[in-house]
Amino acid sequence: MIEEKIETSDTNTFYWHYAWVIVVIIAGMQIVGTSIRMAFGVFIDPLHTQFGWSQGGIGFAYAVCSVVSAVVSPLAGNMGDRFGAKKAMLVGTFVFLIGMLTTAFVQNLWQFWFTYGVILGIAQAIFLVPLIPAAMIWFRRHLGLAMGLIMASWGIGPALATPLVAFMIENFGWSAAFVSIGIVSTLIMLALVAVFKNRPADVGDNPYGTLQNDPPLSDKLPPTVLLDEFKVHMKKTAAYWNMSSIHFLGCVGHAVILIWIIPMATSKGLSAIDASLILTLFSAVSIATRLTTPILCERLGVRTVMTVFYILQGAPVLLLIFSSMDSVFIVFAIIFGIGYGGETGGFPILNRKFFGHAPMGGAHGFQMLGAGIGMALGGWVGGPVFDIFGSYNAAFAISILASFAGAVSIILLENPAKLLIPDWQKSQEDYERTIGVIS
Amino acid sequence: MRNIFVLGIPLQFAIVAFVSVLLVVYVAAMSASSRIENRGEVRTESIQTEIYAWESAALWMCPLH
Repeated sequence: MIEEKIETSDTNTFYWHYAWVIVVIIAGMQIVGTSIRMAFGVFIDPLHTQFGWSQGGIGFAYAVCSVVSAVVSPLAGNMGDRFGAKKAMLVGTFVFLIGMLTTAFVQNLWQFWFTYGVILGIAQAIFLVPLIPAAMIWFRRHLGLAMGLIMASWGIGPALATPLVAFMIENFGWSAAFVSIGIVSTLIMLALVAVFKNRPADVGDNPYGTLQNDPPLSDKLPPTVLLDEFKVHMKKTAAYWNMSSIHFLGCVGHAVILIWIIPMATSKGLSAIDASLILTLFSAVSIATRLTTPILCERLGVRTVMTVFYILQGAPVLLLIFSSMDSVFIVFAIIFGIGYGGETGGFPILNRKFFGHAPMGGAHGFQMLGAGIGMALGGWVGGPVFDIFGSYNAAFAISILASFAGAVSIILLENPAKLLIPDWQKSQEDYERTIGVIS
Repeated sequence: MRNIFVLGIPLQFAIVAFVSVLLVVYVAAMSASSRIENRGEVRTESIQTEIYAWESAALWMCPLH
């Protein structure tokens, strides 16, 4: 049966495969799981009004969430490599429910930092980090298209969630919004986990795009001893570290905007709904580049494409500093949306080009560590900067510098034309032959 | 530059980490300094301005504040 499917994949670029179900599940998990985090900006004013907490104090919860999520990310990635993404997603979903329900009933700022920052931070790392490496297992070829579809879902989440959350807060209050979103999201995520499979072999198939002459890939979870050995080799490559710092810089660049664009726009006279539409607009625009960036990276070269998008993420922020016209928000949202959408899409392709079909949970987790700390720094810095200057311009300048520094760092990466650890697959085959798994 | 390692860490990564830590320390200290000054302005000279632990820590870490 598997032979027949290989023949089909030999002749067709696109064909039915369970890998597309996996893509839909992962996209669904990301839309549902990240919405509440990406819509954080709309909670700032209601919390400030009800409790009198400072903007910096409320923003700190977002920073805690990002830091905790970041710190747990390498662990979550390794958990996915070792136990499979399905178990990780299940654990993460239950922690998410606890975090949402407890956040709904906070009365003090430290409680908000703990429930939103720590509990939801842990949940997001556990159910989100293993997803990208899990998708990579399912695709031997056309990984760019799969990643594009998954990345596009990151843009759909906030584009749908921000106005929805703003509407719920206005009509039912922020507490009811947390309870209802928590329960509905958990039910959706449990349904998605139920149909998720860790590897193509679980449905008796090969990875998508496998051709007849391709050397076989292992259809089992890698043994712990080989995972540990591979991690040692991976940490000796500069790319392992630098991809994390590049992700960090990119995330600083857009986190400042994601968190502080709404308070900044309302301080210039826009209504909360109009201000949230700016976020909705650039999130919507970003969907197009999230979808196309991984494909472009495969066809035009990863470093070139990523550099262009980092510059497009940084340059339009200059408009927010030097222009006071209302219409500038629309121009900004469109150009920033293009760059912001393309910022992340190259990383899975770089991972595949640098490390091949090796288990990527650990490396991806380390990159998410950089990304999470970047989101925390970007989310936090606007608060103290506003407290000091009464304006967000200095925070926006940091955003620009971070994006441009990321572009320079990408140019300095190794050439991804060859694998950095070429013998990984051979090591796994040798090991499995030694213990008698394959003959 | 991409192949220069310092204590097992690539130089490029080390520079990004170092500059980011400097930024955090500087902004936190500047914020602490500004908050303490603002509180001081609304109190009489006879009452000492209260300083929170994080503000003391931020000011202690930054040599410029």
